[in-house]
Amino acid sequence: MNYKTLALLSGLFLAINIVFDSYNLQVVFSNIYNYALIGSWVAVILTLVIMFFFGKKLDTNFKGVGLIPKKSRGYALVAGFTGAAYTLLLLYLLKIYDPTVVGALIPLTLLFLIIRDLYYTKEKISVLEAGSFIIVAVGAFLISFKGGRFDLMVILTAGIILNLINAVYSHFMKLGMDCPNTDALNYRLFITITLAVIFTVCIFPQTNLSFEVLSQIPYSIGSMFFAFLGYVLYLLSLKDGKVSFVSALNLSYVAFTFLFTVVLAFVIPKVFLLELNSTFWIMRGLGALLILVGIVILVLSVFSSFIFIKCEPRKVNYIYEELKKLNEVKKIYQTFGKHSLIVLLEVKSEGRLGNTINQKIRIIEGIKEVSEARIVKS
Amino acid sequence: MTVEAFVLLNIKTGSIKEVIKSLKEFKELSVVASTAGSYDLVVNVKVEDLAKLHDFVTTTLQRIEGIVQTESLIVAKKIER
Repeated sequence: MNYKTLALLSGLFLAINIVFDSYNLQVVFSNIYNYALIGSWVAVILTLVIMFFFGKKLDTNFKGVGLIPKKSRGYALVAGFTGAAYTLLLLYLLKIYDPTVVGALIPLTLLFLIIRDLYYTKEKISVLEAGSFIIVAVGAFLISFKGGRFDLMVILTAGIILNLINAVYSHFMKLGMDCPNTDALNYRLFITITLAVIFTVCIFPQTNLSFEVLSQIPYSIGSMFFAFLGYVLYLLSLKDGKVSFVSALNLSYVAFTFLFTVVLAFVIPKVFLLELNSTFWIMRGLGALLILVGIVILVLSVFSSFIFIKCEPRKVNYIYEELKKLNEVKKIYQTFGKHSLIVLLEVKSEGRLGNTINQKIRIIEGIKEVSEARIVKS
Repeated sequence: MTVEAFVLLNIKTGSIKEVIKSLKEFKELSVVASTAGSYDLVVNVKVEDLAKLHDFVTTTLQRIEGIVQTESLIVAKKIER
């Protein structure tokens, strides 16, 4: 199966996960804390199963289940707390709003991550970014249309607060991943366990667990299974495809979520309540489309380049560590050959590529020569 | 154990499209990047061991019509994010 099919399938499974969660919260679990607590431990078990069976395939640095270094544990704890807040808010929003709104607003996290990158790289926002931000904002506004008016509360909660928390979560995920000797899978496992422990300690008094819950566990496993399947397929598609292109294909989950919800609104209208007037559908459809277009433009407007670096002897490891600190660096390869390091850079505009090379890479002590091979097609 | 390498290729003028088409057939190649620098193409090769890398470069890549020069850089360590 090629990476495009894998990325599209990952979008499909993520959409199933969102709609499944919505169904579970409307029909199966009356208490969202029960669902959050059970789901968090199911996630721990599924992560372990995935690590056991696919660990080496997903991450070549994975050498078995183990404890991550102390520094990354600190970041993982913060990521666990923000992940817990994100999960609870997401479940709450899926309980009160239909999945077409929540599913379409989730990708807005990217806007906050771009603002974070602009802050760290001290770059100005580009015209393309500003244009895409406006398109997404208009889309978010239109998608909030319900009952003849625009629901600003959904924009504030699902559009801004939820995605701000998710952006903070992604930020700490990245900080921990950049720590030395930290492999991605054990780091994710540590965060998943942290989140489950936080839920067990903090929300247990709000749960009303009984033997009846045993019959609800398969629903939680079902939903989580699709989420993990989507995640694994996304990671597998990244092995062969460009990150930006794979992420754009993965965003198909917005369209799939929309489609599934509409179909289910006709099959089980008592669960998926949608209005039956044309203004509602035009506003919502157009809103989802604008968000999708704006985000896809942002995701695809990435310039990639290989940078070949010749280093002074004994400085390679120092340069390697300095390069890891740069946001724009996506991959670093240490090689045997005339170039000691090959770096894959990803930036949002051509001008930023030159700035990154000249103002951030060439100035690193110990670099003798830098040559650039811009990726035109891959 | 998988061996990963970058092979930098110089291509005969006017042959790049045909070479890219030929390269896309190989499952050993995970990235085929056409570049605007000193090399015309950069490919990322993943094979089982060094002997297979040697075979792939010398008996497969170098026999493709249009490839005039190859240079291999074996990956010792990598980080992805």
